[in-house]
Amino acid sequence: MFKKILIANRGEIAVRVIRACREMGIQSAAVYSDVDRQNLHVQLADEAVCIGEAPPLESYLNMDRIIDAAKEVGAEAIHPGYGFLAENHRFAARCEKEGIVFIGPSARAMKLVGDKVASRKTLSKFDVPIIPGMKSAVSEIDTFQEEASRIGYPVMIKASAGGGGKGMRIVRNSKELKSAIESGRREAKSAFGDDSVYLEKCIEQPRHIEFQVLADLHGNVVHAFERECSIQRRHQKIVEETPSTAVDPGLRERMGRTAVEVVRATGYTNAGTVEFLLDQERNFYFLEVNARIQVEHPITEMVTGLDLVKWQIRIASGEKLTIRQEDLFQRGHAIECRIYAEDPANRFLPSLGTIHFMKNPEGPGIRVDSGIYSGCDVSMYYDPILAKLIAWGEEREIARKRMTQALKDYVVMGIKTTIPYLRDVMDVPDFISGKTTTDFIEKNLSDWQENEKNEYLQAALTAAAVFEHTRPEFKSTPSVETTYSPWSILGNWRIGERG
Amino acid sequence: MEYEFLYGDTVHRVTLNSKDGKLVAQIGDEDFDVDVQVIDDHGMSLILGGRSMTVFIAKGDGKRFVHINGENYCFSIPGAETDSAAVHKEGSGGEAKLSITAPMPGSVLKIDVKDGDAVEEGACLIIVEAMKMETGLYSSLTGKVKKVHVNAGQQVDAGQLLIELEEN
Repeated sequence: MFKKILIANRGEIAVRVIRACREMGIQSAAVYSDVDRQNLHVQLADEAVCIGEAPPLESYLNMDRIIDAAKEVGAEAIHPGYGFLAENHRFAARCEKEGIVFIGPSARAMKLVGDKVASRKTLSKFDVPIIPGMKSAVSEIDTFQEEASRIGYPVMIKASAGGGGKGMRIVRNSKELKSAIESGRREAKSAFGDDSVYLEKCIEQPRHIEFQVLADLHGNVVHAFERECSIQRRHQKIVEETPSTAVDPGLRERMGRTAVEVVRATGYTNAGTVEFLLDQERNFYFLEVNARIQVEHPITEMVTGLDLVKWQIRIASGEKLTIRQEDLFQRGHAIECRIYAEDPANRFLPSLGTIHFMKNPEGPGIRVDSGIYSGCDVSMYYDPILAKLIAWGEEREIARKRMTQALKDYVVMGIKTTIPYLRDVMDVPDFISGKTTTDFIEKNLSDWQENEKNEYLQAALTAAAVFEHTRPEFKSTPSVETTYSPWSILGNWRIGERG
Repeated sequence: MEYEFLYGDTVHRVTLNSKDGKLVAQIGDEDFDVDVQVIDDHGMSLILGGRSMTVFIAKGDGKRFVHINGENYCFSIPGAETDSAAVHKEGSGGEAKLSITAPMPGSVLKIDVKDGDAVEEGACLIIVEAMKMETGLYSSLTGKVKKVHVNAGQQVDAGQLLIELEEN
């Protein structure tokens, strides 16, 4: 087993990997950009190396700096988290060349599955259902035009290099095509450093269902069931759950078998995710392989009891999978909500600034994977994810109610977050009944505004006044001057202090 | 002791009084019996008119943030408006559509117009990026670009003037 791992990421996922390292007795080394000195992962790691300036290309996407940092601290392996270099096969190859273990698939397998066009070609020889689309990424707009009219609108523009909705555009007619390709390319370039995009048929009202897989270096492959990730905004998942309400045991068995086949056909190893679209007639199509630990991995951990991050590390170090497919069960139901620094009432614009105070929810079945704390700053340079809230219950409705309460108990002050929006997602009748398709948000919450809830206004005003009164540093704030000492007005009343 | 808080467009006046050794909060014309236990720097337990609640509170950016049972309140102090409040007002004013300002801190990704260009209503003028998300800013009028104040690649603050337009 490794003695020291460098984590080439930031925020909640870096914290998650550090926790796994601690439990395994492995030293952890963080890297950070100059604006991230105060980030939680830097505080929690055993060692920390500043690798450059804030823009990702200067730091978290800078391979040279990260490799140098790994050598400097003597790390035997690098965990890339998700995003940044996680699915960059050049980085995986560079690690291999430098004699550092990349905690993920081999560069070769990653290159294959990371190029959605190439992986599709490979898989067409196997019994894996595939959505009609382009066989290769090209640069000529005319080729896109021809292909789009051949397979018929609506079509989807996708980035060859990555996922997470970055670079992805839906196009309903030929007039929109050119600008969608251009803006998709720009976004792909900025997110992945690679601007190639391709096009495929858009399946309407599908569900987005993915299978977690684990494959060791000795030919053993298992899947850890599905995650339903249909609730998306701008193709970005915001709520995930497992099991899916649309998948019965028969379908689960077929999709799981296909996921394992994809892994074997591509020579993929380590933890990965095989994404499918499920259409209205319950046909499923292979979408892509996500060659990384997923943001939503905790829900799988909650229902299977596996620790996927630890398995990533164990597999990378050469250990054999000790779990067999028949050992795995789904127990209960888990839901995850992604907490973003975005203002849901104002077009989800990033909300930046200082978190003056925050408090995580707690209670039975509640897990919080978080990268924030009271007093931290949320900077403009990186993905706006702050934390993930996960609720587990013996059955779906219990998990949903726990999630609703936990969202209520989640305190984040100073910036806007998606918490109030997610509370409303939990209450949509289509969510309660499990009718979750990828147009869920558009259908149910497109004009979302925060409810005018003034139930506690008087209490809030009273609390604010008491706060002003009891905090001497704010003495200057009473805007109405009084000639009396406050203590003479208030007489012998005093505020209780916890003894 | 009187305090004033601005919530939305309304100024609320809260007076804390002592009556028979107990705290009474007067809000507007109403009196509320209050029992307060301070828990720590950001937490207090409040029993107000018999209802018990946990209150979280913080101060920052010239504002007071209060969280009670999932509801968030943000108060400002009248007469001490913050920069962002001023920006917000400017953004919603009638003249504002002539000024295209940055909706959030970020960097200018792409500028689609230059000084003197004719623009149509709905045309994309500029794309600002923060946290890897692109936000396009569009013209709300048909007219002309008076002046572009920024360059592609430049970092901008929330509320910063990006482009000035003029009507035909």
